[in-house]
This record gives sequence, structure tokens and C-alpha cells, in this order.
Amino acid sequence: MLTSRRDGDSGTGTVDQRSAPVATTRLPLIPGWLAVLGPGAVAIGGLMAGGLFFPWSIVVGCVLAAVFAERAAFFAVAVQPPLITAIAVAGGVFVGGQPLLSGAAQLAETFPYLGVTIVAVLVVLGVRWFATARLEKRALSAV
Amino acid sequence: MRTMKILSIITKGLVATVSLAVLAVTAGGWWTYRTATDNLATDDVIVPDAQQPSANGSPLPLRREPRDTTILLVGLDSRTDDQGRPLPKDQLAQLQAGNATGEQNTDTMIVIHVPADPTKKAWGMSLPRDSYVDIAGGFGRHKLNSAYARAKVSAANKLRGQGKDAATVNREATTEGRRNLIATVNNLTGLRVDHYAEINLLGFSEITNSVGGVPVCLNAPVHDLYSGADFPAGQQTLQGVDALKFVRQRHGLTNGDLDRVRRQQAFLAGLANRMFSAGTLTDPTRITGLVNALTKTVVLDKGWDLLSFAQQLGGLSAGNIQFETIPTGRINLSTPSDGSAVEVNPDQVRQFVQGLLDPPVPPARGSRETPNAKKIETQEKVQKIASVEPINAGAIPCVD
Repeated sequence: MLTSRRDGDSGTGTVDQRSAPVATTRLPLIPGWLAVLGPGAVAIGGLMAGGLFFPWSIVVGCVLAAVFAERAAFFAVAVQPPLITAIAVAGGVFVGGQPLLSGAAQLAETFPYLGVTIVAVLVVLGVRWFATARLEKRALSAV
Repeated sequence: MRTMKILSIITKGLVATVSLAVLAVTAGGWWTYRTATDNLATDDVIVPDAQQPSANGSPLPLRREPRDTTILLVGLDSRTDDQGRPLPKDQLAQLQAGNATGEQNTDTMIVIHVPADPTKKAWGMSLPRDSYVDIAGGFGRHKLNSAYARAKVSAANKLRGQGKDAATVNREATTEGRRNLIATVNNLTGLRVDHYAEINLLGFSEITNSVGGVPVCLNAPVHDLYSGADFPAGQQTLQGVDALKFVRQRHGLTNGDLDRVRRQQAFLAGLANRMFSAGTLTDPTRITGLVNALTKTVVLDKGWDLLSFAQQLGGLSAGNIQFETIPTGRINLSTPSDGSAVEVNPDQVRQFVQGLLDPPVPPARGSRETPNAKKIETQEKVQKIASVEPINAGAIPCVD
């Protein structure tokens, strides 16, 4: 699929290059670094807010990242939910001085939310992936 | 170009693996937590206060703010496991449980108070089983250890009259018994019991095994045929059946049950010492072992967030835990129908509890000459009959 897009881009010139992303998403895409650092920052905010804010910050941050991330960042967006969770909790324990047991409990309790997040992220990315592929194909055949 | 691509694939593979591994760890932790919670035998015994709004409507926080927790710890002389099945004969013989008279009696009752503020003292307060008190539920004045059985028997009769099956009768009557004991303790102490933990002979033995034994210390060697207690003087580590003998011995001790209460306090102090000094409560793997032992053998009230509680305990240190006995009067009070009982004055008990909750400002020069010295003096005098001084968990206390 990746190759087909490249072929399309290079083969049809500037007109298509501009029209393809507009046609595929109509969404303002965010760059890869923001798609990773953004949810990370949201998670840290959620951790500081405490309680249910933390698991929900993971859900919201990661799903938003999946919706808005540029295509090059799809891989990072797909694998990041557990990593962001673990890094945030570990940071809370080792930097924030939270008790270890409390951190372990927090990690365990976040699992259901994390599972939902991962499924949601993969679904969003999958839909976007196939939608892009289809639109490209249509754009290609139109040309 | 090609190496870059390979490197990129390897990096992506590694990152994906780490991500999956973290996910697996999280899932494992969650699963352990869930099974522990699900396997725990619980009973709906804490009746919410009528005046207080039952639950605040705000979205449930994942972890409640720590607050003072009052727990009623009950040792039941029951020969069944926590699911109500009778124990096999060989196990009973091993426990030296003896004959099964009065096995519905709650022979050990300790109120544990854990303050939200970890700098304050946590305390355990023993309620001697023979304390002659007002039993809740309109049963009149009797020995405290009968509160549970009286309500249970009465509820069972009523339920049987309604034609319920044996299992339902037993379950609901047991709940009634527990509730009545809690109500009786609430009335007696003026406290409000938040949580309930009930343990039987077998469970006790298993828990001592799970923590790898409990250090205790005896002033003199003992040899008692009734409980099977046969220990040398001095410090020793007991677990399993031996630990059980240590806390069950009553014969051959000067004050009988009151001395046994001291044994139990010393044992709990040793247990607390072991847990806090060895960092048991901050070590996730040890916690798992302890939780496993607990899930098999204790009955708790519904809705006790054990992890929050473990964290609250984790903030304590052994030196900040103290065990006492309620003030008692004569230990051979003759009663109309219950034989010899222990005299207890409820007003004195409440005053004593207040003193524990709001300890008088620490005396500056080691004297107890506080404004209400007179009150304390009378308290102490009465207390001395039961126990010489509070047992602190900071060291291993030697007892008779």
C-alpha cells in the first residue's frame, strides 16, 4: 500500500500531491512528534490530577493522536498507549515520589482503560489506513 | 539505504515488543488484583448510618482519599473454612482444636484503628471475650463473645420458620450474627466500625505461614496440655500450628483469658513488627503471597478496598502501633446466667477510646500530670488489672 501511494504521488505530479491529503482526510493533520508528545503531556496532566483523570487522559490523548496523526506516525501512535502509561506511572514513582505499591496498583487498575484505548486506536488507524487507500485509488483512477 | 531500512524495522520491532510486554504486565497485574478481589469471601455486614448520606454522587474516584479506618478483627473458634465447609478431621487434629463446644463464640475481638495521618499512632484495642456488656438486638446483658451466636441462632430460627433452605438460613443468619457483634462493639466503644475481618483457626495458621513466621517472646517457659503450648522462655519465631497454640493458651496463666489477650496483642505486635520492618507491605510479591493467604481464609466486609488499606498501612511504622485492652473491673463478676464474667463499665471504655483517639498532649517531662490527671489515674488503676502497660510493636514484647 505504501508503494502504491508513492507511485501515485510521483507519477501524477503536483496536482495530485496537493489533492490527495485533502481528499483523504479533510482533517488538519498533526506531525509525528506532536502525536507522541501530545498524549504524553496529557497523560502527565492526568496523573497529576489523580483519580480517574489518569486512565481517561490515556484514552483521550491516545485516541485523539490516532485521529489526527499524520500517516508517517501511524506506527508510533499504534504502539504508544502502554508505553505512555508505563512511563507516566514510573515517572510518578521515581520522580514524583509515589509509593511503589501505589504505582503498581495504578498500573494494574489502568489496564481495562488501556485495553479499550489500544482497540480504539487500532480501529481508528485501520479505518484511516483503508479509507486513505481507497480514496487514493479513486483519485488515481480519476486521473 | 538498505541498512537504514533494516535498522528501522528492528527498532520498530523492539518498540512494539516492549509495548506488548508492558501491556502484558499490566494485564497480569490487573488479573491478579481481580482474582484476589473475586476470591475473597465477603459479607455485607457494615450497615450504613441512617443519618449519613449513603454515597456521595460525585464520580467515583479510582482511589479514595485515605481517612481514619476502624476495623473489627474477630477470631472465631469455628471448625469450618471461610466458605462454611467443615474442615477435614486430620486438619482439626493438627490444629488441636479440641471438642467443638461453643464454636460460634467470637473468642478474640480486637478493634484496630488506623489513622489517616501516618504520623499519628495506630492502635489495637482488645475486648476480652468474657466482658459483661449490653448485647445489641435486645438480648440483654451477657458475655460479649455471645453477641454473634445469639443473633445468629435467633435469626436462624426466624428464617427457618419462613421455610428457607438450610444454606440460605446459615448464610443469612451468619450475616445477622456478624452485624449484631458489630453493633454491640459500636455501642460499647462509641466507635463506628468501618470494616470487619473474621478469621478462624485454620486461617490464622495459614497467614502466619505466609509471612514466614512471627517473632514472639515469653517471660517463662510454658507447658499446657489444653492448647498444646510447649515453648521455652525467650524470643522465638512461631508459625502455623505453634502460633495458634501461642495465642490460644489460657490455662496455667494467672489471669486466664486476660493473659491470653496479652498473648494475642504480643503476637499481633510481632506480626506488625515483621511486616513493617521487613518491608512486607511495600513489596508487591510479598503482598501477593499475603493476599493469597488472606483470600483463602478470612471473611471481610463487602467493599473494603484492600489496596488502599495496604497503602495506608504502608505509611505506618511498627513503633507507631500500640496494643491495649479496654479497662476492666473485676475478672470474676458473678452473673445470673453466664457464670463468671469480666466487669466492664461502658462509660470508662468510651472515655478510654476517646483518650486513644485524641491522645493527651505528650507530657513534657515524662510525667502524666496533665489537666485531667485524675481521670487518667483511675483509668490506669483499672487497666492495671488487665494489663500492665500497652504493648508497642516497635520491639518484640515479652509476655507471660
